[in-house]
Amino acid sequence: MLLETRGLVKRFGKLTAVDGVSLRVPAGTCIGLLGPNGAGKTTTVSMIAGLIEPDEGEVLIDGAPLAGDTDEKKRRIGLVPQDLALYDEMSARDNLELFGALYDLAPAELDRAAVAALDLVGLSDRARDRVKTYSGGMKRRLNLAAALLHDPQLLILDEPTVGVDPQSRSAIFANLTELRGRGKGILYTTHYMEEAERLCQRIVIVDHGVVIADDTLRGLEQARPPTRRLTVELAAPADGAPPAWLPDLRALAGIESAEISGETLAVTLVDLERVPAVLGFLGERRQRFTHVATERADLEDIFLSLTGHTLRDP
Amino acid sequence: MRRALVALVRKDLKLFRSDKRAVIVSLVLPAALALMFGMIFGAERHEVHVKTRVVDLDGSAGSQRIAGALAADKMLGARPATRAEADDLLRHDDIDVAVVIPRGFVARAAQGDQPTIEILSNPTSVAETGIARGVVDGVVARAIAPDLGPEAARCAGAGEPYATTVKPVSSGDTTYDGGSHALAGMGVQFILIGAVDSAVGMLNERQRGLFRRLRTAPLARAVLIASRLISGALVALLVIAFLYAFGSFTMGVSIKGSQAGFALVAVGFALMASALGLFMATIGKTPQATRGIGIFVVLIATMLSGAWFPAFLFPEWMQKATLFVPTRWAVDGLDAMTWRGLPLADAVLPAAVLFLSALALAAWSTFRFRWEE
Repeated sequence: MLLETRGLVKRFGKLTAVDGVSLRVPAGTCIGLLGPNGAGKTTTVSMIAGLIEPDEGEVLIDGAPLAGDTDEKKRRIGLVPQDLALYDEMSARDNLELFGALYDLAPAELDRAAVAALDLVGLSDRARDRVKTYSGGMKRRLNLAAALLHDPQLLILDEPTVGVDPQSRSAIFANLTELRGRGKGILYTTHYMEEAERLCQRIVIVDHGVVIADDTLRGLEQARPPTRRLTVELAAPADGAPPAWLPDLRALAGIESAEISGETLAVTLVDLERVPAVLGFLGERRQRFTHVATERADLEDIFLSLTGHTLRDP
Repeated sequence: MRRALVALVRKDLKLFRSDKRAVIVSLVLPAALALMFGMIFGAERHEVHVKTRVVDLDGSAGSQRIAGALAADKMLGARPATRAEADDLLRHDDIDVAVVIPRGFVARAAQGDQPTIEILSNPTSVAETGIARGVVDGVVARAIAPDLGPEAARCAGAGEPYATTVKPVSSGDTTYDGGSHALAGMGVQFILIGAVDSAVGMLNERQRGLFRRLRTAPLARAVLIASRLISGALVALLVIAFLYAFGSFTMGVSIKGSQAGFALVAVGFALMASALGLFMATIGKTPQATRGIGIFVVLIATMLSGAWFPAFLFPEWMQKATLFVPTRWAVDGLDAMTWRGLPLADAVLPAAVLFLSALALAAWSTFRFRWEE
């Protein structure tokens, strides 16, 4: 097991930011660490990367506990921090040479690693340019490259796509898929459900510092009631106050929630067999509609069902 | 429009108030400086004291009266010393003046020979020397009046029965060089300002998450602190080298004392200034607050170093207190090795103080710097 955490706890004064987090990252696997802002993701990552000491619990790298700033096992970890941790006034190449030197790479080895990392993230042709001339997406890619120089087995990415354009996001996903294919273990923290769904084989959901779910996406779906969503585009949009019939709709059996915004009515159902009842309800109240659609439950729904609030809530 | 204006002003005031350390510095800095300037230039002027020794080579009753009168004077309070002791104290900047009563002074004055009384002066104590000369003239005339005979009275018609000369004393033939002193003072001040920038830069790096990346590598925190200490010191040494090269070219400044001693003091100060930058980074929570605190520290440290004002303007207690300020040792050490022309041995104590200060500040920073926001 590349990474295993056992009962990590971190307190800041009276606040327990992380409360008994345990997770495992095998080689060649991407584990998604999901949670809203303030859930304890970055604190967990900081403990795993050896930046802060846990108050309780331990971090095991290849089965051995990580201890202290100078622990050689830190060489097996590559951290892509949430911030763009780059020196803007230096070139991409100079940045990489600096970060590689921290791992005591010999000049020839460092040169090869820098070339390979820049090549992987598609920045070879801008290697000598100052980072301050880069776009946000290019900086994000360089941020990733800087974590790869010492060829770590475990990559920890702390919300690596914040503020990134779709093209760079796709490029980063492609890079991560390739790295996973090379046998790297990846711990990917995010509050974008679609990213975790796309990249990760297993999802760990944390809320208020506690792990509330740890399973594959399919496992999470199966473990929860098969919530379904129904969207109805009404012919006459609601203007101002919600329609008088909305509370009655919410009171129907098998309806978890019903919200209306403009002409769109969004209904969360226990199962799709309730769709005819909803449409019948609208027909009885002479509400005409122009379009009807259903969709599968996603991680957002799963998170909502687990915690009672959405992933994007602070 | 009015509401927007009020809201914007209120927003700025809220932001200002939210950084409590910056607020405190904004209020404390001008108040503290005003207090210090007040103490230096204000009501305590009557406490001005010219550090004086009297060398009585005459040994007559009249010369003893002179020595007694100089000792009794409130401003001079002269203490007896041998000529060698007086020279040594002057060369080491420990006193301002020494009054030398030559052998046979009183007898020759009584005969109307108009002997010369010598005031040996510290070249940095220009104003003190002027004060001392005025006091000596008055004291000596009164003290030897009973000894003066008719010849002296005849001579007195043409002028004083004795003459007074002032002779600057430093090492060898060197004399006070304002250019050298200015380079030391301004060098100290601007290197310390550079240290403030270094502290602010360190906190900016922390804010940008760069330390998170650096600390992911298997490195001791002491290595990260040491790297900042060394880089800051190298920049400070570059500034010192440039300043003295510039001074040499434009003002003819030279290292008249020990070059090794100059290098020792320069390296000590460069390390101390760099370590002070690290220290400032530990006490300010934000870059803005650190800049405020840093400017405060730099202004006080520079002022107390003697770079701005002659030391005689300080109250006596402040002159002693400044010995606890490392920058005072930096200015004194650089002065000693340049225009004073002192040997390597005289660089050892200033350099030791600077190295020990650097060590203490760096140690504090290693243990106290917050690596995470």
